Amino acid sequence: MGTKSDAGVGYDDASFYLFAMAMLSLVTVPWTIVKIWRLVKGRDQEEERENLRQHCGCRRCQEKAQAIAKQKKKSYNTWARPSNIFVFVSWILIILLLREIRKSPSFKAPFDPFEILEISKSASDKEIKGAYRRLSKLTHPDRNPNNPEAAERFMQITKAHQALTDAVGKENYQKYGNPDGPMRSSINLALPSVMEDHGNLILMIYLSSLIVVLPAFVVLWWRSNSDKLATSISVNTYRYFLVVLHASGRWRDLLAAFASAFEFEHMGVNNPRKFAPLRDAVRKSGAEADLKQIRLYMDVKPYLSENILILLAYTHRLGIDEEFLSRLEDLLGWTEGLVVAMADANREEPRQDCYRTYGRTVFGRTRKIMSAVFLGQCLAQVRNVHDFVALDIDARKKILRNFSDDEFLDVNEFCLHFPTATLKVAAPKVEDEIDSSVHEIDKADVEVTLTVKRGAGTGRFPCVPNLPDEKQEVWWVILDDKKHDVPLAIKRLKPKDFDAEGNATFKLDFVAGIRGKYEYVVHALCDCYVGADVYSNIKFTVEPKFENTDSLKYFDTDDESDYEEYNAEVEDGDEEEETDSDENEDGEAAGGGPAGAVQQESSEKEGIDELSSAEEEDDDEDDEDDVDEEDERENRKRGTNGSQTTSAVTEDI
Amino acid sequence: MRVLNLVKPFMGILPEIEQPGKTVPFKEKVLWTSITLFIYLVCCQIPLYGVVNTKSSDPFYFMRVVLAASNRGTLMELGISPIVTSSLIMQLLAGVKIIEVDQSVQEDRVLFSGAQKLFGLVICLVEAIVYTLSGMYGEASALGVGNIILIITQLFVAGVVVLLLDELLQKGYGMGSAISLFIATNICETVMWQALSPTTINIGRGVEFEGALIAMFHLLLTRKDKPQALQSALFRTELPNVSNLVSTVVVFAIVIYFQGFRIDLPVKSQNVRGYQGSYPIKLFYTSNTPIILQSALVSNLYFLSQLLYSRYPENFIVNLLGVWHTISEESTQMYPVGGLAYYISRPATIQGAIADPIRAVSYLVFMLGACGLFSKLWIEVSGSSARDVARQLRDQNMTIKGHREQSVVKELNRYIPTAAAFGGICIGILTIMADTLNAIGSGTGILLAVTIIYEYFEIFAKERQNDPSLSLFK
Repeated sequence: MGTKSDAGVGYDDASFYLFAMAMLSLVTVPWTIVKIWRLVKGRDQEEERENLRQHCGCRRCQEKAQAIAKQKKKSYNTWARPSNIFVFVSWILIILLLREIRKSPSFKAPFDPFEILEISKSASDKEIKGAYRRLSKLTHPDRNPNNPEAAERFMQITKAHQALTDAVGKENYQKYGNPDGPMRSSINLALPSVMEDHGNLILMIYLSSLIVVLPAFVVLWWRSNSDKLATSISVNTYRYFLVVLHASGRWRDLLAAFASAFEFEHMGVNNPRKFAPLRDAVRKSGAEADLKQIRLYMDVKPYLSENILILLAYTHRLGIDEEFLSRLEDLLGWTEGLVVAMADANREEPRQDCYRTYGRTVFGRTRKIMSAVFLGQCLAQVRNVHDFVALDIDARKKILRNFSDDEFLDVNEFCLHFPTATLKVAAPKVEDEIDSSVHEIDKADVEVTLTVKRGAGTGRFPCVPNLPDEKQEVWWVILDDKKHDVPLAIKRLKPKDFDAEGNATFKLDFVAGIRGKYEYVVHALCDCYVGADVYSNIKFTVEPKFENTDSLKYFDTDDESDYEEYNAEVEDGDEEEETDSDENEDGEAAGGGPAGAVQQESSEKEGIDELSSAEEEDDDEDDEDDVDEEDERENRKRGTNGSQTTSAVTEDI
Repeated sequence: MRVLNLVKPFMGILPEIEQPGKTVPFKEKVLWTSITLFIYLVCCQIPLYGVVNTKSSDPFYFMRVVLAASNRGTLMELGISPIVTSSLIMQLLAGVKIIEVDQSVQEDRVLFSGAQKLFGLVICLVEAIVYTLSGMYGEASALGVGNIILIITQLFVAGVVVLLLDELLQKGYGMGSAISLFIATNICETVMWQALSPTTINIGRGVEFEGALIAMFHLLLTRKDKPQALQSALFRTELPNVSNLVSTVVVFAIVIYFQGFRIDLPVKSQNVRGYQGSYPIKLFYTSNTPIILQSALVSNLYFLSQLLYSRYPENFIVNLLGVWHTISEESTQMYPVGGLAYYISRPATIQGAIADPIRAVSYLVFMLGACGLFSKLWIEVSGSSARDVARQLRDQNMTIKGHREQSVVKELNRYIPTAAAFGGICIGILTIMADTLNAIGSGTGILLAVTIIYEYFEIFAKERQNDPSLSLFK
């Protein structure tokens, strides 16, 4: 057991073992407890059975469900996971260290006279004396020749006795913990003594790990993460979607875009012979038109054309050979993520042509977003049986009398799970105001209730046997300005957003445009089934701008409001681009003063275009950012949420 | 002639961080903040070159953690005290209108921050010179002119670096500010060290571990009397023990719980109907400023008193201000035993408090009173009083929902002054509680750390929400 100490701090092996053991235990013990608890709790059998019951009963769905359940079970029962191995190894290390510690002779508890004399803390003087006499007789060196351990113990016992009885010794023990008086305090480090020998080496390792390893690690992590978006779609794919969706909204172009996603780059096999039969099949069928008219927005690469062929064959219900099935599965696995990315990519497209109507830039084209959702529907489901579903079971049986019983069961199950949706849409109105009709630039709310009913099962397990992973039924609700093809609000509803009766009530909000009559449509699209979509029309009028005639009192006296300072600001209105564009309205509200009157006139003259406030939205945000930054600086000093109002308004806008 | 115009000639030579070209993405902000932290931590360990000894009494002992986040004898000796002092003073001067600055004019803002930076640099230089010449690193004669200049240069350069790091974080490259980051880190460092330190100390009783958790293992393994061992691990006095850790966690939890207390005033826009917003007024309206101010006041008083006492120990007035004794023969650290300094200092133990109840009561009254008072005064100076908020609301054309009869100011006055004062007192109470429970780090330190960490979490949450990719879905 090495204990090296120079004039400075020493390294102590025995203590190091204890330190290492303590650190390992602090990590391992809680982890082990968690693992054991998870194991004991087991899987929730009851819930699993309930889920299975709600699954679609058609054969293919059942097969898929069983395959997934088996997968889950397998991952649950692996014992060789890295975390388990780590825990196991830690425990072994801990036990080994414990043994080393026990063996070490220099390792004892702090000096405690009561323990040495083997008496309780509340022993009386007589007991102390008696114990001392008894034990000293036992361990006296004369009685135990050649026994260094006994000698050591005898010294301890004498010391202990001294600490408890001798006046000086007692005082010393109280003050310094040792009856011999104040000792030199020494400080050691519980680290292995080998470190001292190789001091330079250790220093090099430490330095290199700080300066080289840590930054390298950060850079690597950065690289791998920075090219993905939050939903792990790669940034390049997203950019490509931006290009495609800007140029075209046609179904076949979107399909091609899907097939070209950079997530699939590694799939290129570049074996034209393999794909020749597939290509022929596509050419001969109705899919040829689609294939011919697809327009690509990047250079053709092998994986691209191959993927397009496979997807076309799938969506046109041509047979797909065994060898391509796994690739098809990979492609379909990304459906949800890529479709959402497509819809979002379209949302970034600014619509300057709608500036006149809405007085600000709105984004996106509803048609294209709906196209993207339709693509998702096609990839999830390739059936179109809305009316068929509406029939009852006997009518169906009659039509399908040529189907075998199994096939009929499949069809019936599908029909039972097919959703029928109804939309109830209220007229748009403004919240919390006495006059709730919609005026220009008001923020209006539309209350929508979407009710989804089906014969059996829930939205958590739709009939989508073609998709490889579990998928829930998601409903897209879009508020669309028909005339301009602008999506004003989009919401995605998951099964948990629906209540027990299948209703989901929510509000879509939008900013009203210039005055006039408007016709909006609320679309509800299901992303798993083709043909389950519904829509509802709204017609309403936007009134001219609401003139706020309330006289608001901000301050009790004019003094408080620093009236002169404020008016001076208003006069300098031209210089100050940063202040709100609504300053003109300020002039009206505060009233008075020639400066105010000037502002009033100009605002009436400029009329509607004032809405655009002569600044693009970008500028607005930059300026508010500036103000925000400055406010943040002051927040730090003030420690208040003083700029909260700014951010509250910015967020709403 | 405006005071601010005096700064104009210096604007050209002040070092500055350039504005980021476009909004910095969230992940990059995290990276920059971590780099700043890293630099700070490394600098905290680099000792000053040319120092002879650092054994003299540290006059800033009491406020080192709180106000400076610094380590004695290292590059970070001054820590963040230049920045903090300069910003506090500038805020004060602006609030009292000695310096006229109009926050809405771009040029004024730039001048003001330039002035702050200049002032910070000046303070840094002055502090460096004062520290060195006053004998903190050894007598001036022993150091020699060369070393003195060397030390001053090191301190000054380190101060400049800290200033620039702070500006980096604030210009938008990082999150929060350097001050809060460094203070919080320092305290967390202390907590980690006291829990897990591998250092062993031997004062005659045998080997004892400094780290509380490690010592617990040690005692449990080696002592035969297990309950006794546990008790010792929990309550030993000279070194950190597990009950310290537990009380630290408890204080954390309580402060976080209190952070959630707020009143949301519903506001709506005058121009655009239908816009709803809310203006939250937190219980900790001035967050931890009152405790910082109170610490600063007390520490400066101590500094003055110590200085005077060591020069004129017999003077009656000096004695009224404070009488100081050294802790023990070895260390030269002093603590107050009489005078004003004594009556506003914290009783070290509960027994001490009971033994001298007058001192305990005077300490309590001073602490709570100072916190509440500073909080209320601070809202006036820093521009977050009811009047300022009303002015802000008016400039943005927002108003409080309902309440037509009363003016906005009156409505705000129902909440803001109360929140400020009560919040300040709460902070004071929490600090005293943390000190009494012997939480790791002083009560002030823990409170600062918790509020700062909570603010960072709020920033994180807001950034995540505003992540521009996939803005579709709420």
